[in-house]
Amino acid sequence: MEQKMHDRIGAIHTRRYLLSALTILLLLPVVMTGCAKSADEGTWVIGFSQVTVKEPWRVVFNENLRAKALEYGDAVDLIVLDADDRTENQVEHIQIFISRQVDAILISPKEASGCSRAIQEATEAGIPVIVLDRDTTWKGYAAFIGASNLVIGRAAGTYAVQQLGGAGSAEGKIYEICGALASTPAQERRDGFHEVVGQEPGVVILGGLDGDWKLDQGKAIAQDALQIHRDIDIIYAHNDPMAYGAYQAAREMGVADRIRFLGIDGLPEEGAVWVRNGILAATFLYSTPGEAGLEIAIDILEGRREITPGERITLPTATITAENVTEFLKQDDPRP
Amino acid sequence: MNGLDEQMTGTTSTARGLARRLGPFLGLIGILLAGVVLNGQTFLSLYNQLNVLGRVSIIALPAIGMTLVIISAGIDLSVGSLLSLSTVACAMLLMEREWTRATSITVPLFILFALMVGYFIGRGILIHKGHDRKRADIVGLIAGLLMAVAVGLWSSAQVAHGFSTIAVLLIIPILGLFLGAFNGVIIAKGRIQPFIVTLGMMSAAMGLAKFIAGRGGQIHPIYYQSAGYSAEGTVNIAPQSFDFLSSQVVIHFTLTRLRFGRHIYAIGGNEETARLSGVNVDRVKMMVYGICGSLSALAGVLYCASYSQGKPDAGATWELDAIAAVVIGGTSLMGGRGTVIGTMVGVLILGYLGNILNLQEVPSEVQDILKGVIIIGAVLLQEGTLLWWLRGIKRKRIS
Repeated sequence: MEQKMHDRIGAIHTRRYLLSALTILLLLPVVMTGCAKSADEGTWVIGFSQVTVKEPWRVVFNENLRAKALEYGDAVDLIVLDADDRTENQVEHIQIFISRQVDAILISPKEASGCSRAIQEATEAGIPVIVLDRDTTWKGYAAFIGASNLVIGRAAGTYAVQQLGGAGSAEGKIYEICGALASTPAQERRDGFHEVVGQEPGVVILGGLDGDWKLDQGKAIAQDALQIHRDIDIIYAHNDPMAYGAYQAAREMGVADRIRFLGIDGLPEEGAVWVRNGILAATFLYSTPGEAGLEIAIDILEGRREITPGERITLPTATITAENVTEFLKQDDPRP
Repeated sequence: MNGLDEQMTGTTSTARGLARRLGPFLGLIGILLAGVVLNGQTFLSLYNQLNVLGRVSIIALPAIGMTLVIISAGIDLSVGSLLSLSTVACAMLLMEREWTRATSITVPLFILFALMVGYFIGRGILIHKGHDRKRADIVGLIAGLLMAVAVGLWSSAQVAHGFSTIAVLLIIPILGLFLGAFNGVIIAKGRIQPFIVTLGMMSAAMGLAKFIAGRGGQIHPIYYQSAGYSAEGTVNIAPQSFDFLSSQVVIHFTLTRLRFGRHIYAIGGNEETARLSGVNVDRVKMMVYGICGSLSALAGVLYCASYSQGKPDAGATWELDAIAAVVIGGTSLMGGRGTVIGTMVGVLILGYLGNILNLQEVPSEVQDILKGVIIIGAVLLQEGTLLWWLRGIKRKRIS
């Protein structure tokens, strides 16, 4: 019996070794081709480390960037790596880019501090680094490009005040649903909004619960809020899905008609569609910085632009309403 | 038999057993009282009650499945990912008018399921009637093939105009059933800890959800003009609560009245003893994980109905919420002890807690702290060890 057990355990062990060996063998060619690829003459190799592609905004970000790279044709070879929401992966990406001697690096980092050292190393190795969307603590990079959530929050505030009767005479109740409050975008979208609306004595801002950017949580918060505040005029959510969730709650309660819903992001397949369908009164574009980033990188490489370390470029926002929504929709969208 | 009964209902003569059995109910009553005292009419209104029921009915399904798994001394970390995968597949089946990755994955499994069902039913009937096995096998196979062809034709006819509600309610749980049963097979036959296997499935199913969603994991909105679940149009809370209550009743019946249910408790109590007593441990495990998977997938369909979207990370971290509900409901993570009714109470406690705190406009961070305190507090009270410990300290002081 014991011998049999022993044999069996032995067999399992051998099988495990075989399996791991097989896995390594299978993975080897993938890794090797990844490393062996080298730049052709006359082609700018640009490495891009994207923090995650879990969020739809990031997906659109990558798509816009890839489309921009295609415009340059053979002149640009763009490598896009997904860090799966981990800073350590992004550091590794930069190290890979340095050892492959790419011509420029684009990075959209997870948070301010983690990637700073690697970005510094790349810059010292003579590779211009352009930081996109979220800033880093080390400011020696070639450029930072991003939309300002503070500016967007202010734009939303201005629109809300206008809807409630205009600056100085605005009156009404606004209910706010926040994004993940531990994140800078949510804090800035809140602060910018409060900065503008706070100057109106006739307007009250209620709520401020954390909906974690999620439609289902936005809906739950609105369901509960609409029961205690029956006279809300505007629901302002820090992104479009939460605003849409709030709309669903109001619709089920039969009060959707007298409330205006404001979202943020204005993605072609989310917010923009909801504005067109009359669900959201307005959404505020959070521009993707990929195209501008690539353009600046190529300008630097081709000598059309001087590097001023730590330069900051803020992308403008746009107020998307029923009047101008067609500009922000996908042209080939067949949906109703 | 007496011992087994005790395990099943959690009844023991000690105070600890009583605390374990009544604890969750007392907790729920306490929460409800708090709700009435703090929010009065708003809390009691039918609208609010239906809201809470509708909200918790989604998490309740994976929690019920998780109860079975945990009673069998296992754990299933993949429920959240299976739910996410199902929302994506469901949204795509409802909205797309062509053959997509979602159809390529779900329809073959549906056909395979029909083949298996036809085979076993046909074969079973013939064997029951006293025919020999060879003949039964052939007839079973023919019955299976016929069913497979019928199901194949039916589902390909659905593609052109988008799948109907009935179709997704059938197809999506079968997707979950297969993936869940796959967990079970690896756990039972490969003799690997459930934690590891389902951790792998958690990652794989999340990846699969992103893969079939396309573009690295895009969201698939469902518009209400679609042929399917009238997602945006009507309130689906009533049918949802029905799904939730009916599966709760079915699983409760299975656990307490059927032999299969007793086998689950037996395996959770002591797997080796169960095996020696003639329980087909491997088969029971496969079925338990399969049921858990299909309930999670059904929850995915409900998610689509509630929120009109399929999202590759819709159920991220829901496995932890499900485990929390199960534990608050008095089921032991060591296995062999627990009830589905307890889990339902656990789900309701968490649901009402969020609702009451929202109505009180308590900030989100405080809500998270309170949720954590309730989870730990509930288990401490049920185990009754806190009192025992305090008594021990007192005794030491005296001596």
